[in-house]
Amino acid sequence: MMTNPDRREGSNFIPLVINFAQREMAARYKRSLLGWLWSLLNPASTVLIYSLVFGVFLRTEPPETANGQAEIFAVYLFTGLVVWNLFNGVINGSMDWLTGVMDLRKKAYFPTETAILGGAIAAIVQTCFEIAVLFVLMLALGNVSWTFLLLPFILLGAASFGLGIGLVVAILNARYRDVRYLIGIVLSLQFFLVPIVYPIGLLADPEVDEFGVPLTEPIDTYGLPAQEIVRWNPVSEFVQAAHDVVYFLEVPSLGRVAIMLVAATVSPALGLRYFRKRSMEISEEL
Amino acid sequence: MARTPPAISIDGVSKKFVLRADRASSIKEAFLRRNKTESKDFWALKDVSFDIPKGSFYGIIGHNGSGKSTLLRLTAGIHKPTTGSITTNGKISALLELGSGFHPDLTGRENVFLNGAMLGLPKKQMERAIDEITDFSGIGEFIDAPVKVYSSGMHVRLGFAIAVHVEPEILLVDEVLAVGDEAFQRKCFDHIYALRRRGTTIVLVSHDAGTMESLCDEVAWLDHGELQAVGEASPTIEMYLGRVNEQENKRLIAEAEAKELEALAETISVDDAERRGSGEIRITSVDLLGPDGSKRHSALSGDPLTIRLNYEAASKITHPVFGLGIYHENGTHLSGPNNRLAGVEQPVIPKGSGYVDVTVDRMPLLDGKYFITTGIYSADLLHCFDSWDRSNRLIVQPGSSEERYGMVEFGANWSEAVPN
Repeated sequence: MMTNPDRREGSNFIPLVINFAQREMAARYKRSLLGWLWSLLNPASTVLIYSLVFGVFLRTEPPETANGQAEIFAVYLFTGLVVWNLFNGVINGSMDWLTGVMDLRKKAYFPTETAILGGAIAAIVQTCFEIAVLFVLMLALGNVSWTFLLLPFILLGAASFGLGIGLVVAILNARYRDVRYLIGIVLSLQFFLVPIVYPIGLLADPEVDEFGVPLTEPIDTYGLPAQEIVRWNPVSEFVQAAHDVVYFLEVPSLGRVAIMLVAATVSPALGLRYFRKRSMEISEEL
Repeated sequence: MARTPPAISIDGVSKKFVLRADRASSIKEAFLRRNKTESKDFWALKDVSFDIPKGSFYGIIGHNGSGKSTLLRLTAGIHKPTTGSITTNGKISALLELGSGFHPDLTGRENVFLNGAMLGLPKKQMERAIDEITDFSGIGEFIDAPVKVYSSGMHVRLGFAIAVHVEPEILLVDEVLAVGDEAFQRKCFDHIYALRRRGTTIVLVSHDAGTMESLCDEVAWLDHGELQAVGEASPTIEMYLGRVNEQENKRLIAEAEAKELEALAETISVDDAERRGSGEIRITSVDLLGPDGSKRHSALSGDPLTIRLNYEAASKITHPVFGLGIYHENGTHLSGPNNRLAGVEQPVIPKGSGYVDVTVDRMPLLDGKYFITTGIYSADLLHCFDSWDRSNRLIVQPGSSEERYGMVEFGANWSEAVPN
């Protein structure tokens, strides 16, 4: 028995999620010469550009890897970038995935969150390629351990956290078209509030000698609690956890795991609640 | 006694649409006209309640804007009722409008899978059905072309092919079957009947009384968003038709009154009708009278009718012959009665005005539009005083006659089959 509007109960919408996911994957590189190769070339070019700017021009020093050999900025950058790309991709994509099915939804019933879920799955599939590249890279550097196996869970958590936010902004964007631009600004700011292009140690208080004199000059943050902002940012936790398991080959701290767990569960739960409450209204706007 | 639950239960459903002149589409606009809401409420449905039994062929009838399509969209889940609830019991497939549920950029094949997925059917199951769907729709290789290049007929055919092949428990159909050629329509109905035999509940929305009566077991009649009647098809449709006729008559009266304001002598006369004759006596106007003697603006099929010919004689006329010609609007001459053929001789008509009544006990013409030609001839029929070709409209609406196809009531008696 299905009751309007809660007719989701008893209906199987998994095929629809799969359909949307397949379509998103097919559409992503349709009519492009290199096709799926782009999913590797895109992050590769990003890594190249950021490595050039931050690693070469600004001489950002990456922390040492677990085996203490490599100090390649590009590898450090790529590790964080994999997490960020997924998080960012899900939020930005959510707005497109919803607007992409609105016309269809006006003519036939289906829960629109399936389109966003399908899109998120497509984004996760693409991330799998990046994980593979990262693994090969680390293997070449001789910097691998079983902790690498934790990376997929961290990425799923980041995707889930992003999905919750994506569900909310998708609704807002369907209502006000300028939400997309606002989100773009917030996300580019957020990118630099997360230790991707710099090591978290950069913001830490400098080490002191036995007399309490700093060994290096502290960074001037103009009175902003930069360290706190970065530290208390949930996205930072996901990025740092990726650094932990891939770069330092450590198990993330319990506190970090707890924050990630909360972010990965509370965000989609609240997001879905909000989405379901508002999606009917959105589809009735003619 | 335990009853099977209805396929669809509509309980106190109202639906409000908010008509906004211009909707704020950016945050800036939303802030700027916070308090200036230029919105108007429109109630498409008002407190509608009825059940659609399982396995029935159910019709929802009403004129344009009666809310019947809105009700179907609510049932399909596209919109949410403002108040009340709709409970559905079974997998719903809906054929709501042209290209309903199609993504224009996807190919027909991709849309088949998408539509299946919307009903919760996995790709594998749809793969088994795709050939059958392609065959049924008859769109051939177009199945791999984007749906946006389809003709409207192809849209409907593919939509219907999908809708009936996903094995729905409830099928909602909104007048789309009117599209497509006769052969395809027949194929559709064959399939609908097959579904019905398997126990599928079918809900058809239409304003066409004929289709509804021939297909549906039960009918709900909506008017301006309010439920008027629910029940067996024939009596409910009759009530609906009664209302339609009443309104049509009102409209004609209103039209006629408007014409009177324009100082037209004849309320339903045709302006450019051809008129000839010497004019010693002339028809001034033609009135239609009901059995109670009141003026009417249309006739009812099978009901008594009087056609009153008002004349004006400029001088004394000896034994003239009054005649009528009845024409269908397509030009067919249906009948040509006159008083002499009826065995009645007119007296010597004095100078002045008067009238001649032509009365039928049963109006033999069926629902349609006709014209009346009037004529007055000399006693020897050689001289024409007045002949006015198709000067008046005769609008016939369904009345007490049971017949409905063609132009005239045959009035035959039928025997039961007599085996030899």
